[in-house]
Amino acid sequence: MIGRSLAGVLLGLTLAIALTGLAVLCWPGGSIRVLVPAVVVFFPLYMVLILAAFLYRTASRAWGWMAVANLAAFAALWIAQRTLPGLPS
Amino acid sequence: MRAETRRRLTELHTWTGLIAGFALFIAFYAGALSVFHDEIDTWAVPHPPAVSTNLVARGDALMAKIVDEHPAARAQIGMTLPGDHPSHEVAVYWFDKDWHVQGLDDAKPRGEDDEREGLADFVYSLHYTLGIPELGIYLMGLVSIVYGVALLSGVLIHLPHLVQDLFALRPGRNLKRLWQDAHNVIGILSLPFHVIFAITGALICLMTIAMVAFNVMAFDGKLVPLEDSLTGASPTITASKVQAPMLPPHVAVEKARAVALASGAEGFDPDYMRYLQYGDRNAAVEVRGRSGKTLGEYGSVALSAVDGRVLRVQVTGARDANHATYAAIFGLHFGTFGGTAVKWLYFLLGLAGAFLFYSGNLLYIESRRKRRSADQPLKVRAMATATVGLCLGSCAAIAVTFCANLVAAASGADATMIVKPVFFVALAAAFGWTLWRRPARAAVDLLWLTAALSLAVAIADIALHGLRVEGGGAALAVNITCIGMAVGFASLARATARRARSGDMNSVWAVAG
Repeated sequence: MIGRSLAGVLLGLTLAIALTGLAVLCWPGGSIRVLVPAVVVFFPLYMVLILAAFLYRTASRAWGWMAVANLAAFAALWIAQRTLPGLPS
Repeated sequence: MRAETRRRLTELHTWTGLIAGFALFIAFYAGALSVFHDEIDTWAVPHPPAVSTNLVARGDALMAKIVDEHPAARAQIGMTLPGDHPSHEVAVYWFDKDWHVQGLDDAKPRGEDDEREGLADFVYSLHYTLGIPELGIYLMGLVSIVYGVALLSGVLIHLPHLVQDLFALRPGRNLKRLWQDAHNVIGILSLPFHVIFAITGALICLMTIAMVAFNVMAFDGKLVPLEDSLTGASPTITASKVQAPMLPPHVAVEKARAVALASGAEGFDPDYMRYLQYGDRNAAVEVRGRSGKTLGEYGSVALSAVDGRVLRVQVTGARDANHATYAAIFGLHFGTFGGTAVKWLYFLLGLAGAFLFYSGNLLYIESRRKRRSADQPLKVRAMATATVGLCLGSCAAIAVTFCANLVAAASGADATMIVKPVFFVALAAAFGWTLWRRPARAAVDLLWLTAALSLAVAIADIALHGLRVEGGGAALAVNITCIGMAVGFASLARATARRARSGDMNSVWAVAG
């Protein structure tokens, strides 16, 4: 229980931030237009990801898959930050 | 779903329920009452001091005085506008390293430790902080997230039997089955309402923190500077260092109302206004107000504070997705998008939510009960004590606080000094009583106490102040609701007493002899 909870609570948090951040950066027609809706989506997404950690057969699988998903999401975010217009400064 | 996954989800549901359930019970009970915050406030202050008519002009003068004394306050200084319930305060807010506040009748800015609250404001703060200063709101934000996980896992466990069990309520010898059915049917039927609260509750408590996290992790520090413009109408302005006279608040408010109505808003009832770069030729004034016939009632209009030309409009009918979403979060949470019927629906669903968490705890106890022994395991006894002491204890403590407010107001004392300490002393006493009397007896005692106090406070208020039909009958409605709550608590008390006497003796809910 503890292992899975930590995977969901920690890696789920960073994954949810990366995924919603990525969606905002990729939003057609300007990222600034969907910032508040994105924060609204972030919370249920985080809840779903915490739950998802409990659907894996073992805690180590939960950690493994969520770490892989984090790496992929942050790599995509890193690319998006450098290639897309992003927020006005 | 594999049996093992389902078992694991059940365990997750149990634990998240245990962690968040007590806080959620208090939040839902106090939140249901807070739907009628303004009505309770009208009830709690039976003889409000006469309202002077020049509040806005006095606020204007106070702002001028404050920017004289604190030049840094020019960056942003604002005031709340007069409202229609007695504790509503017209006060000036400004930012000088930190937020400061000074009411019209205060001689100097209010200190950080000044947390006087009237009855209605206290019940409301109990709803979103549990009465814990500073950190309580973040705690409730985390509780909302745990609540969301509990909801998701509950739905997943229940999903395979969702349709056939939805309308099943099976009374009979199997008590666990009955509580399970009641818990499920309330959980599923009010699920949309719970989804709204898990999400908007987390948002309202943790939005600022989430914005900071996004700012650092996804947006290179560009999000936080935008935050004000995402939720209000404030434009980014730079001071010209050339002085100019400011449009007075009443003129700005009237102009903003006209602009909002012209933009298509259904009414515009201003409740807050602020200046940005007060006294400067480039200064702006932002007016926030409420409109009708929309999910998100709040909107803002920004004008030049010198000549009144329109800078930005974010009201219903003329706003972007950010502002519409932001306003909808509050509209959905507070139930302000509808009329009286929606408020009553929120009140009843709030009480049903409190019952959902209470029944979850009863299920925990019932499914771990030793069926062949009068002695129950420690975890079952501890859970029963905590459930009765904290849940029923807080119902009783709120009833005590209503009585204390009535006594203080009638004897001329300042009720704002006593409501918070009275609540916590009463809650501690109720918990102590539960430890001493054991849960089965204490539950009956606390339910009867809550019923008796609810009835007594309504009768005493009517005896002291009459029917109080003035002002739309808000105070009278509170008294009638108190009597209704008394009847409800009394029937719960009778049912609990009957169960203690004649139910299965091998249980924490049985009273021997």
